[in-house]
Amino acid sequence: MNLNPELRRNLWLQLTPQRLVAAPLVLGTVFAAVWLVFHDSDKVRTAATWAFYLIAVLWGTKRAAESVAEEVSGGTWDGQRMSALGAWTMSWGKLVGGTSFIWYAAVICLLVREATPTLPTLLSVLMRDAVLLLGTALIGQAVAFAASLMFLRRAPAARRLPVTLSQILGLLAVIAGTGGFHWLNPVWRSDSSLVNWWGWSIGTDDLTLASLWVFTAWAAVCGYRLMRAELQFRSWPWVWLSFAVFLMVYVEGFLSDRLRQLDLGRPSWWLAPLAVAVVLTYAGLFAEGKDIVRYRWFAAALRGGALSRALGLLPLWLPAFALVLLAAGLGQGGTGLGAWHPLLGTFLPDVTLTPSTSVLIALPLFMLRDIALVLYLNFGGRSQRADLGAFVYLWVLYFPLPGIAYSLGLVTLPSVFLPVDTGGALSTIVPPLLEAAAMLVLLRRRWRVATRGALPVGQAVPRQMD
Amino acid sequence: MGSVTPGMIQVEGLVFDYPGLRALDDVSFAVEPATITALAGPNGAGKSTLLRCMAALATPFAGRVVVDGLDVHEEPRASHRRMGFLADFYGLYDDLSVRRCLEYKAAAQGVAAALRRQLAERAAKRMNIDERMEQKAGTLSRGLRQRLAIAQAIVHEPRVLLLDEPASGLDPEARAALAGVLRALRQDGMTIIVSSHILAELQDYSTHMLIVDGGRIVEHRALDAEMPADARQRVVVVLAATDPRLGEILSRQEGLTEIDSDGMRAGFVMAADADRRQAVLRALMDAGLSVAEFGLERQSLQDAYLARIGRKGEGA
Repeated sequence: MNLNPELRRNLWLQLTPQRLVAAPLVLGTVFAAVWLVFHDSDKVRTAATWAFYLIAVLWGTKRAAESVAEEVSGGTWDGQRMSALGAWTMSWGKLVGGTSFIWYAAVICLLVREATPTLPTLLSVLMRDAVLLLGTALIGQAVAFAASLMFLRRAPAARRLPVTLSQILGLLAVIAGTGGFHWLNPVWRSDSSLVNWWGWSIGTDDLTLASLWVFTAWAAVCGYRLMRAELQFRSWPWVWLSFAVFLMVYVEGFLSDRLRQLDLGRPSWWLAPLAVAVVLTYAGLFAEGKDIVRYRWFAAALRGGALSRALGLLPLWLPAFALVLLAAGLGQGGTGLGAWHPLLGTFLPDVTLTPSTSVLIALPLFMLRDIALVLYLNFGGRSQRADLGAFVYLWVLYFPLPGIAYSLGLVTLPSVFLPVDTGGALSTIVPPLLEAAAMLVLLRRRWRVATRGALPVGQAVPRQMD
Repeated sequence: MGSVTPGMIQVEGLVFDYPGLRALDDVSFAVEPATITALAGPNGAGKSTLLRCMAALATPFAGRVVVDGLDVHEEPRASHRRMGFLADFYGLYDDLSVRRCLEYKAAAQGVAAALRRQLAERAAKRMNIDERMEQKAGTLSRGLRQRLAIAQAIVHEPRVLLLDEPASGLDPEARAALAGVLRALRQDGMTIIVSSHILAELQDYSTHMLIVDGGRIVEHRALDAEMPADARQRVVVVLAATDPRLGEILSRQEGLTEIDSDGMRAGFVMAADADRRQAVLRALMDAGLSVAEFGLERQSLQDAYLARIGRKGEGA
């Protein structure tokens, strides 16, 4: 049988005869005990639900995160990378196979849950319930799997911490996917069963379910792309850009009607794309490894005119930052940042957050400063803790310092730390311009020191991969 | 490096960097088919990095590796079907039987389903573990695990086999068995590169030597190759009885250097020329010395390695 070899190997390891017998016995005993104690099918249903979450979500995210980490620590990862399996075969073989026993037990829980409805329920409702639960577990596992690959690229030797962090990210995805973070969305009213998305009134449950499965698919694609990189395939950043565009459209759908209602008098459609691009720039910056060798390859490919190779080496933050510049450029003459989100509107109330061309120039400059800072720290001798250090520096720059300045009555000083309009173009743009310039100078110096002794870029012939 | 003649493996201008370190610096060489190349060098010389680049497990900054006509970094999956690789720190799936380990590996290397069992049994037989097919990998001894690991690397019958320190941790008997297996694989047409610190054992089966130091190839030659015209060789003379004239007679001969004599035994370096050697022997015989042995000193792989690395060290 031509079953995916990676899936089959995982099935051999996960679905041993002993486990296949033990799982229904143990779960059956638990549910029988609940029934015998309470004589209430509702309690059995609750127990099955909790068992499903514990097994499929909590344990499942851990198993998904471990599926590659175990290979690395067990010394089998190189052998797998030497195989002839493609990235997709390897990805789904690991994700599905590595969690196969989890699903075996979780499906038992799901069947018990759906077999014990509290009220006579339509089959379609039961199906919908099952689809929601399956999606909940899948998004967690897919995100944990992708995150473990991301951490593997950043710190190949580490195992426990990356697995834990990947599991946490998976669990956060579960919470987000099931609407746990809807309170962050200003247009998602918890007291309403409908939400407005691109002018359509859609049931919140329907939109949540659809979003859950769409983002699960994106998480699976993310895992596949990271696996491609791990297996030495060249990948251009089209999928990343596609995700950025999708996310922009998705988020803009929630805001378009709201902004139209606000009647700001200027085009405002670029606000959501700008916000998404900003978030993705920082996500790409911190998620990816920032190995100076890889950046040197990238620089060499650019100088050598090897566009295909350069695209394959493109840091993820770079296209996202290009989208920031694009959105900020399109937003010139548009509305201000404070208008679209009440959280920003209440922040620093005495500072003008209304329409400002200056702010849209200051924002990319601040981001450029931040990117240079992160790279500066990563290109240093002790790059392992560089991201954590950069995160702390940025947190101090963006939160305590402007707060202190504001509390001291220095109303114009926050523009030194934040992209806010404090009354004049000069005071808004010049500080981030100077900061970005200073960081770029420092970064250039560090780059020179770090690449000293290596072949000058351009003398060595970069691998022609195109 | 100079131009590279085509072979089963061609490495051209390979450059690989770690942060702050150039691990491979313009490395070029070619390996002929059906040979066993001993890859030697001090710790940190770049041996493992070189093997990983050749196996397409690491992408070089510059240069390329062509194995059996395929650029391994352009077509990593296709080239992996033609290559076997055993890393210095390898692992096995302890809960799988030997048979399942081998059948999985065969499947992962793209072997057709109908052939997997046959090839798994063949690889196990080659490594002499065919009687343990149903035993779990986790229950095997270290030597048997090593054999299983190599069996996994060759189960798809690759044309090229890369082994990084395959004999480390093996007892002498297991090492001898490994040497036998490698010789047999070579006879079957496989091209093998073996990295090891144990040069004495490499000598038993290697046909070529590749010495890496400081990220560069410092020597690459066939171990049984004919000497070039300008080459010099070390000759050893042993007398049946001590004669103090031995050193003096040798020093009078033209073209002899590095003469070392204790009256009973002497060594010297001279041009690799049979006629010149005969002339030196005649001079010793004519002088009435009781020559018991006269011949080329057989240089072991270890001697060659130490000579090359030592020379480099002295020059540094």
